[in-house]
Amino acid sequence: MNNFAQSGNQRVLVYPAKTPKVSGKQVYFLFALGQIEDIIRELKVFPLPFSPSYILGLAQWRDQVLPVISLEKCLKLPQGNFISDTNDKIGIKKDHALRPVRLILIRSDNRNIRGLLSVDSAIRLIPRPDSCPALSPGSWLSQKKLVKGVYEWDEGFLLVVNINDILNGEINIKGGGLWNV
Amino acid sequence: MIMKEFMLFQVGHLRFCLELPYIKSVYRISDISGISGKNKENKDFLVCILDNRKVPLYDFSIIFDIKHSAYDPEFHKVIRIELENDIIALRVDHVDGVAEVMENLVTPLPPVIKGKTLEWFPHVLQFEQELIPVLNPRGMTVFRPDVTETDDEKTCEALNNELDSLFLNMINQDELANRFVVSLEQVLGKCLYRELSNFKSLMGKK
Repeated sequence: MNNFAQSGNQRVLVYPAKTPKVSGKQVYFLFALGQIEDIIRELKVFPLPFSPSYILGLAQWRDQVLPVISLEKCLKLPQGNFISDTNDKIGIKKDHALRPVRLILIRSDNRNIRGLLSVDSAIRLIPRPDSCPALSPGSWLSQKKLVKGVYEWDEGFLLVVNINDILNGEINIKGGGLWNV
Repeated sequence: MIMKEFMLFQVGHLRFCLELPYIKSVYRISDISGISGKNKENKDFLVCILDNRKVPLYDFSIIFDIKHSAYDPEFHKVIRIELENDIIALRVDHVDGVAEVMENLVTPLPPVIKGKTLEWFPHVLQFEQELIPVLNPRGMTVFRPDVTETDDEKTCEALNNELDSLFLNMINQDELANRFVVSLEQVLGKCLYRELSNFKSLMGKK
């Protein structure tokens, strides 16, 4: 992992992960603006049986069917006091349906694959942080292959995720299915 | 423009659909006999009798752990699904009807979704502002109960078939009674012989 290059005028998007503080610091996800296609305030999310916990369901965006993904669950970040609203048996939301959430429309580097990231907290556009030292992922980060880098920032830790692998399903996480294979 | 027909159905608050050509009949649950658990280790698997044939019954309310339904259980439905060499039954809360939709509204699941979800629901239907998982019965039957009949069940079924045949052929009552008694003796004799063996075995141990 390398240190960030000097920022110039580049801006990035950050939002806090819904996870307890690590070593007293908040964890943030960071995305380049080129990865972001849209920020959607409300969209209906439809549950999908047997899907792993990090798939919150499917949503329809301009005639496309897109997965709604929780990065926190995908990376198996600590849950802390966060109470899951999923049915552990099959991963279907107990309130089933259609609960609108704020979503970030993200795309793979080749722009062929899209997905929606579920975000409960404030999304910020900030100048790309300068001189953030790269860190070795700690034990709190079990899915290291899905992370390109962890950086120490003024406000906490910045996680740069490998969104291509996530959108392509290169994830080795067993779901919560009854007969999950 | 290629059109496809789907049957839409509900289980609890969830809506699913299935391509119409797979469906041969829809029964009211009260018209189905012989519903029982087959696999003691996995109670999610049931069997039922459809047209004198024992078939696996997939009860979506059990599989999806859905306890609440807006529909009276008495009016739940059983959908008979026929595959190339297989018949399966699907218990659902309510059949909403058939929808004819353009083929391009049936979309494969995004690549991030794999595993069992993909086997059971490889596609999703965009219908009336909803995304409805499209059931793939072939993927579903990968996980099926063993409905192989035991020897006793086969004997009983043979007896039933013979009685049916006799009634159909209107054989006189004496012969019917005689053959019934003979068949019954066979079944009971088999059971008695087995119980006697068990008893002897127990006594021998003592």
